[in-house]
Amino acid sequence: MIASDRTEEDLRASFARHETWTPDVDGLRRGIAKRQTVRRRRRLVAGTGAVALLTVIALVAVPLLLRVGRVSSLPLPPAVQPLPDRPLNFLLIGTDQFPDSPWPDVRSDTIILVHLPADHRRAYLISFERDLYVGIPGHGPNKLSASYAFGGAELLATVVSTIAGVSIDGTVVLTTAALRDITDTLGGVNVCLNENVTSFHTRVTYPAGCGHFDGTAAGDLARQRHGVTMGAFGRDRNVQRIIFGLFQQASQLNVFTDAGRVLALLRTDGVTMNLPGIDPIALAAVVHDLDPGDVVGLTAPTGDLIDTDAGSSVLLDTYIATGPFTALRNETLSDFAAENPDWVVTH
Amino acid sequence: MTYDEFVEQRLVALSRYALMLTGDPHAAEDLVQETMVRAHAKWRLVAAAAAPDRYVKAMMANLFLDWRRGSWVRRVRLRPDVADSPAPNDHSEHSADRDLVWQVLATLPRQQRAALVLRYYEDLPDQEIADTLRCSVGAVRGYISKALATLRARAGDDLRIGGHR
Repeated sequence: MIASDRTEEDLRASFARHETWTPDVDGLRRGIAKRQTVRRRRRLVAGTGAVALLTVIALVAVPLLLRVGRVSSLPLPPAVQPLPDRPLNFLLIGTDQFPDSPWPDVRSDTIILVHLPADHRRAYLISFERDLYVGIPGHGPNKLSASYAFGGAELLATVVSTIAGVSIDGTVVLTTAALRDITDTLGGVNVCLNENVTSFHTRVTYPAGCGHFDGTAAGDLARQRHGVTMGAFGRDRNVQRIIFGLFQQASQLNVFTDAGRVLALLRTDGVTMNLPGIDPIALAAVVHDLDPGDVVGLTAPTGDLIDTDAGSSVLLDTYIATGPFTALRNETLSDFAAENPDWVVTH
Repeated sequence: MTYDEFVEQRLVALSRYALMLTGDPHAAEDLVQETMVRAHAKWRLVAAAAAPDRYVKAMMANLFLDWRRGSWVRRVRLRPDVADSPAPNDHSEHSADRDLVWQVLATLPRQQRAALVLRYYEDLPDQEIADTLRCSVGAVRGYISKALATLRARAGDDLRIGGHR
C-alpha cells in the first residue's frame, strides 16, 4: 500500500518536472494561425471564391451564390442556439418518385429514426420498414409509407412516434435526386456491401466488398430491394450504409464545423427540413464530434410478410415485441445493440 | 468570452496539458494547434458551454485518443522530424532523460495514459474523467489501476533512479 502511494507521488512529480518541456506559446500561436490559413485556402479551392470569406453576406444573398455541386464557405451566422439538453429524435425520410408513373406519386421509401441520447455523444439510426402494417389516424390500417402519402412528413412522424413511444423533434425529407446531389457534392461515398447487388433499374452490378459510389450509383443502390437478400430489410441496411458513408465522407472533409457548407448542403434542391427549435449548425457541431464508432445502425433482421388489403405488409406486433423501442425510451440502446447483434448494421 | 481572450488566458495551461498527454513537445504542439483550430471553428458553441475550458480540454483529450483517425495525425506524419509511433518518445532535443516513470508512461495505451493525466495532473474526480473520455467510471478506474500496476512493476521503488538532469 505504501508502494502504491509512492507510485502516485512519483507520477505527480514526473508530470511536474516535465512542465519545462512545454512548447513555446508564441510558436503555438503562429502555428494555430498557419493551420487556419491552410484550412481557409483548402476551402477556397473547393468554394466559389474569396468574396465569401472577406465579406459578411446577408443570408438573403446565399441562394445566389450556391450551385449544386459547388459549395461556398460563409462566416458563422450570428448566435448559434445550443441544442436542448435532452435526448433528441429526428426522422430521416427518403422519398422516391416513379419516373414512369402517370401519377405524381411520391412514396416514402426510407424511414429512419435518428436518436441522440441525452449526452449527444452517440447516434442511433433505427430503420422502420415502410411496409409496416399500422393504423393511420383518420385513414385506418395501411402501410407505414402510406401515412406520408396521406399527410406528409407530419403524419408519418405522428405514426412513428406512436410506434416507438417517443416524441419526434423534427423531420428531414430527401428525394433520390437530393441524395445523388449531396453525394456528388461530397465527392462520392464509400460503401461496403456484404453481397453483390444488381440493380433492377439500371442493370449495373455493385460488387460485394467496399467501393466508391458517385451520386448516380448511390441513388441507384438506395432503391434496390429485388436484387437484395431479405428484400426490403436488406435495402434498409444498404441505405444505412450509404448514410454512414456520407457521414464519414463529410467528417473527413470537416464539413460539419463549416456553417456555410452545412447550410449549403441543407439547401440542396430536394431537401425539406422541419426542425422547430433546433439550430442545424448546433446539430452539425454535435455530429462533427461523433466518431465512426459512435454511430450505430439498427434494422430488423427479418420480418413476416402478411397479405392485407394494403398489399404485402409486415406485422407490427413482432416489430414492437422484438424491437429496440423499449431500449429507445429507457436510453439503453447500447445494451440492446450488444445483446442483439443481428439488429446491428455492419458498415 | 472571445476566442482571443480564451487563448490569452488558457494557452499555456492547454499546452502543458497537451504535453502530459502526448509526452513529446512536437506532438503537443500539433495537438494544441489542431484543437484550437477546431475550437475556433465552433467557437460560439464552445463559448456557450458551461465550462469552455473543460470543453476544450475534452476536445483535446478525444483528439489525442483518436490520433489514428483524426486528420491532425496526418499532419504529424507528414513532418519528417516527428516520430511515427503512437506515443511519441522523441527526446533527441533533451539530455538523456533518467525519469523512468516518464519513460514507462510512454509505453502505456492511450486511454490509460489519458486517465492518469486527468487524475494526477488535472486532478479531476473520476466522474469528470469518465465524461471527458466518454466511458464509465468503472472503466476509468480500470484504466488507472492497470496503469499504476504497470508503473509500480516497471518504475517501482527499488528500480527508481529518481531526480532528473
